[in-house]
Amino acid sequence: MALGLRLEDVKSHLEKAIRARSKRKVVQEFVKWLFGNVLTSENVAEAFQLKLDLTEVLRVNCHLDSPVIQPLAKLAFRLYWREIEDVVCNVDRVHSLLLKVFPEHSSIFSSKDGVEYLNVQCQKLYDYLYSYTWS
Amino acid sequence: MDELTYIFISALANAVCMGVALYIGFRKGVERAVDLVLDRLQQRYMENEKMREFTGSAVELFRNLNELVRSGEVKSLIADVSVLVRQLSTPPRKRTVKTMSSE
Repeated sequence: MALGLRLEDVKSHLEKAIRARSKRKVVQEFVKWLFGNVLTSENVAEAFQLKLDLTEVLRVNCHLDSPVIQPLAKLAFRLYWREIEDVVCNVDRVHSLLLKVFPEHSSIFSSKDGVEYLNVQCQKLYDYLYSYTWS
Repeated sequence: MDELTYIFISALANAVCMGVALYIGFRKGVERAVDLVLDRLQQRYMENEKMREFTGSAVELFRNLNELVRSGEVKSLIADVSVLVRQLSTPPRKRTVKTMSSE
């Protein structure tokens, strides 16, 4: 799934997050940007229906393997690690957030398959982010 | 900021921190040495206007640094930096992901 994120945009967002003084403001802006510009109703529904690997989607679209992005991303993730964990480690929270932003897909998100998919994806994403950030 | 710049800035920041730490450690001796060097610099470059300006700024910088060290502000800055470095370099314990019941 291509989200159309340019390397330059990812880089500038990471730099902004590293330089920012208020963590809270950065997190709010990030959530706003993620749900306003990156994730659309269609691609979220597509991810659930096709059971896409969200870790892979994140890795490819955010250019996390790029030598330009890697040092910045590691530093930003370390700075915001508590905030990242608070969301990724709490599937209930991710589920509520998705329901709030995309209420039209509540039946997909709350189905047995949807919940199982979300559980697996959060676990995978957390494992990936932990080893990416701290190794 | 490309990777090279990032590495360069990290190395520079490390060098500055080490320099300041050494400066605190050997303050008395360094203070005297800095004074002597600055005096010499001022005498030597007094004739050249540009160099006089530059030397003046350098002297001002060292004197300010000296003041900072005396007031203890640099110590608290270094303490803050070391706390941040420790936080960023120590991996936290891995958490358990709280899953949701699918029933």
